[in-house]
Amino acid sequence: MSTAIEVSNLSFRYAGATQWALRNVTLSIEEGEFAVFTGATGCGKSTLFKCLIGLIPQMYPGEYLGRVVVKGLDPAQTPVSRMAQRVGMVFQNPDNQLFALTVENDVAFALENLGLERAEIERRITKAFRMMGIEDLRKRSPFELSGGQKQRVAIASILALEPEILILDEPTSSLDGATAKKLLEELGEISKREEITVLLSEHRLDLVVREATRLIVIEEGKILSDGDPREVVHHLLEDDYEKVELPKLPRLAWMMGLRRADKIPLTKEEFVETLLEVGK
Amino acid sequence: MIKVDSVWYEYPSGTVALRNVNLIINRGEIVALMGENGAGKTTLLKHLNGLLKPTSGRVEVDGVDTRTTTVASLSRHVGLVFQNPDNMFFCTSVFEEVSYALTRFGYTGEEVRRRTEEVLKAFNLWHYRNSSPFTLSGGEKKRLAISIVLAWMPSYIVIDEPTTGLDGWGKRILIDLLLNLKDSGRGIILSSHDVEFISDIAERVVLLRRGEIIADGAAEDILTDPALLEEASLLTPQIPSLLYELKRRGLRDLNHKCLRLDEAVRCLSAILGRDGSNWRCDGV
Amino acid sequence: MSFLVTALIFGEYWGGMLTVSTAIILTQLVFLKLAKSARYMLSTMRGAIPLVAIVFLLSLLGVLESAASSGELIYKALASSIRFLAFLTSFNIFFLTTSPDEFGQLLLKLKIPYVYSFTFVAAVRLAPVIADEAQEIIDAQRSRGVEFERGSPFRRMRALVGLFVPLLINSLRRAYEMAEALEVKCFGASEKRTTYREMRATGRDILSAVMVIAALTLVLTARSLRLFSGLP
Repeated sequence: MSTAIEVSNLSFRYAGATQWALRNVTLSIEEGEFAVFTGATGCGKSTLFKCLIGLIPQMYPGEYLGRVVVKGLDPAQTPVSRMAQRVGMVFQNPDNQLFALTVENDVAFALENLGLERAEIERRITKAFRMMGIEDLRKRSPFELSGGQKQRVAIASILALEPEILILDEPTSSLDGATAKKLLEELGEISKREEITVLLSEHRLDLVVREATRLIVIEEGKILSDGDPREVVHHLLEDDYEKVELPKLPRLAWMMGLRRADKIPLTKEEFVETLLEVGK
Repeated sequence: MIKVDSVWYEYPSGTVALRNVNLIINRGEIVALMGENGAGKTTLLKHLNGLLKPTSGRVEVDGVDTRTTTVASLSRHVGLVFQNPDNMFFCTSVFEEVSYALTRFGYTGEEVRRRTEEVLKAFNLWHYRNSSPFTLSGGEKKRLAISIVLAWMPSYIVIDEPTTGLDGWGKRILIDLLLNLKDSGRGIILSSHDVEFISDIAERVVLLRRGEIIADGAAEDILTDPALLEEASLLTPQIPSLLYELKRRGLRDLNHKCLRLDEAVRCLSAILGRDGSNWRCDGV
Repeated sequence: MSFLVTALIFGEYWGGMLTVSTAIILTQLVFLKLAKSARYMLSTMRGAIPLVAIVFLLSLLGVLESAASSGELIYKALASSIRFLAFLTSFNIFFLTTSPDEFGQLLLKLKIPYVYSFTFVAAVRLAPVIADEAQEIIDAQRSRGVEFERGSPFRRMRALVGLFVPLLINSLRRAYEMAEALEVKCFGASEKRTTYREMRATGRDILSAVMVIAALTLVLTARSLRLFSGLP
C-alpha cells in the first residue's frame, strides 16, 4: 500500500479571522482507506477537506503553513481543475452542486468542461450511473428528485471524473437515517470494489462505523484522536468525551463493564458475539 | 389542546400531502412526528399555527379554529421553529433578534428586556447578545431560533427537525432544554427522522407515511417495532435492534421494549442474572 | 414550436391591438388544444388573473383624461389588458416548451461564449429554488409575528427587511457553495468545451424559423404602412 495523502504540520487561518481553523495537523492516509472524520460543528473538518483539493488557499485566501501532498501533487500550487481529476469532492447540499436540467447532462457536466470526446463521456457517465444505481433517473430533472436521489446524482457527477480519491463533506446531513445508511454502505462497497480512497465526515457514527477503516476526531482544528475505529471509540469512551455522539452500542458495552480496547463492540453482531463469548 | 380533525391537505400543485390526519396533542407532553423526508411532517406542522389551512377537515388550538384567526395571533400560542434558522434572522444583534418578536406581540419596554435576558441566559447565549446572529455556529443558531420563540412563552412549541446541523454536544443540550420545557407544562411537538434522538426524549411517537398516520402510540412500543418502522422507512434504533438480535439468538425472555441506555443496562443485567460483572472479569 | 412562439411575442409587441392580441391568444389556444395541453397551460395562468386586473385598472386611470367616451375608455383599457395577457401567455408557452438547457445550447450555436449561456441556465434554474426559499422565509417570519400585509407603511417596510436580509445572506452563501462546486467540476478547465447532447436543426425548426421571419416582416411592413391606423 502506498500513501494517498500526506499532510504535515498544516495550519490555516482564514483572512480576517482571529482563530486558526487548522492547527498543526499531521495526517497520512493510505490508498484504499475509508476514513471517517468527525467532530463538533465548526471543528475544521471542511477546512481540512478544502485544503486537500486546493480550494484553500486558492479560492479562500489566508495564512497557510505546512505542506500537503495528494497523489504526488501539491494542492496549494496545482489548479483545482487538475486536482479534481484525481480527487473528487462532494459537498453537503446537493442543490448547490447540480447545474444542468437533466440528470444525464449534470453527470456529463464536468466531463464536458474537460473537453472529452462524446464516446468517452458516454462510457464514463454510464459507469457512474451504474455505480450509484440511478440509471432510471437519466432523463429526469435533478430538481424534482428526492434529497437522497439528488445526492446520488451529485456523487455520480463526481465519480464520472474517475477520481482515485473521493472526499465527501457531510454527504448525508440532509438525508434521513435509512436513506443515509444505505448510501454510506454503497460508498463502502464502491470504495472496496473500485479501489477508491474515501474520506468523509459524518456526525452519526452509528451509520458509518461498519464501513470505516479509520476514524479521525478533530477538535478546534487539531487532531484529537486518529486510528482504527475500535481504538478511537475506546479512547473517547475512556475520556468520557462528549462533543461527539458515540454510537449507543459501544456505550452500552462500556456501561456494562466491558472495557477492553480490543473487545469494544461497534455493531450489534459484534455485541452478540462478545456477549456469547464472555458468557461461556 | 391542539386538535387535528380529519385533515386533508392538497398543495396548489395538486400533490396531496396529508390524508385524513387525526391527532390530539396535550400540554405537558412531548410528541414526535416521524417519517422519512417527504412524508408530510412539515406540512402538518405548518397547520398547527395556521400557516396552512386544511383543504378539508379542521385544526383547533385550545378550541379556536385556525381558519377563523390570523397566523400572528395563533403564533402567540403555538411557537413554530423552522428547520433552517438562517431563514429567521435579520436583525443586527442576538438581543434584537429575540426582542423584535416580543415587541411584535405587544410587549413593551422593561418586559421585553427582562424576557430577552431571561431566555438568552437560559440558552447560554447571553454573552453573544451584541453579536450578529450570523456569526454563531450551527448549534448556537438553532438554540437562538428556539429562544426567539420561547421568549413569548407559547403554550405549544413546535420544532421542525430539531437535530439537523447539531453535533452530539448540541443534541445533549437540546434534550435538557426540551425536558425542562415539558416540565413547565408546555406541549412540545417535534418532527424528526432521527430515531436515536427521539428515543432519548419522546414519550409519544406518531408515524407518518405518505401523508397518512400509520401509528400513534407510546415511544417504547413504536420505536421497538422494526416491522412498523420499516413501513415508515425509518431505521430501528440501535438498542432495540440489539435486543431483538439477542432475542433471536436465544435470550427469549429479554424485554426488548427498551430505548435508553440506562434501561438497556437494567434489562440486560436482569436477564443475564448478573450486573454485567462477568465482562469486567474478562477485561481490563 | 418555440420559434413560432417567439414570433408571436414579437408580432404581438409590434401589433399591439385588441384584435391582434385576441387573435394571438386564440391561435395559441388552438395550437395548445392540438398539443392536448391547453388545460395544463390554463392552470398555470391562474396566478396571472390579478395581474391582468391591475393592468386593466391602471390603464383605466391612465386613459381617463384622453378618452372621448366611456365606451372608448373601456375599449382602450381592455386592449391593454388583453395585450398584457397575450404577452404573458406567449412567455408562458415559451418557458413551458423550451428548456433553459436547450435555450443555452441555442445561444452556444449562435457563437455566444459558454459563460453567458451557462449564466442564463443557472439563473433560470435558480428561480424556483429562490422562490421556495422566499416562501419558507415568509412562513418563518409570519410565525414570529411579522405581518407582511398589515400595518403602517413603515411597519411593512420593516417586515420586508425580514424577507430580504435572510434571502440575501442565503444567496451569498449559495454563491460561494456553487463556486466551489464549479471549481471541483473543472468549470472552464478546457479551452474547447464539448457537449454531450447536441441539438440539430430539423426540417420543422427551419420551417418555423421561416414562419417567424415571414410573420415579423408582415407585421413590420403593416405597421410602417399604417395599415391598422384606423384602430386604437
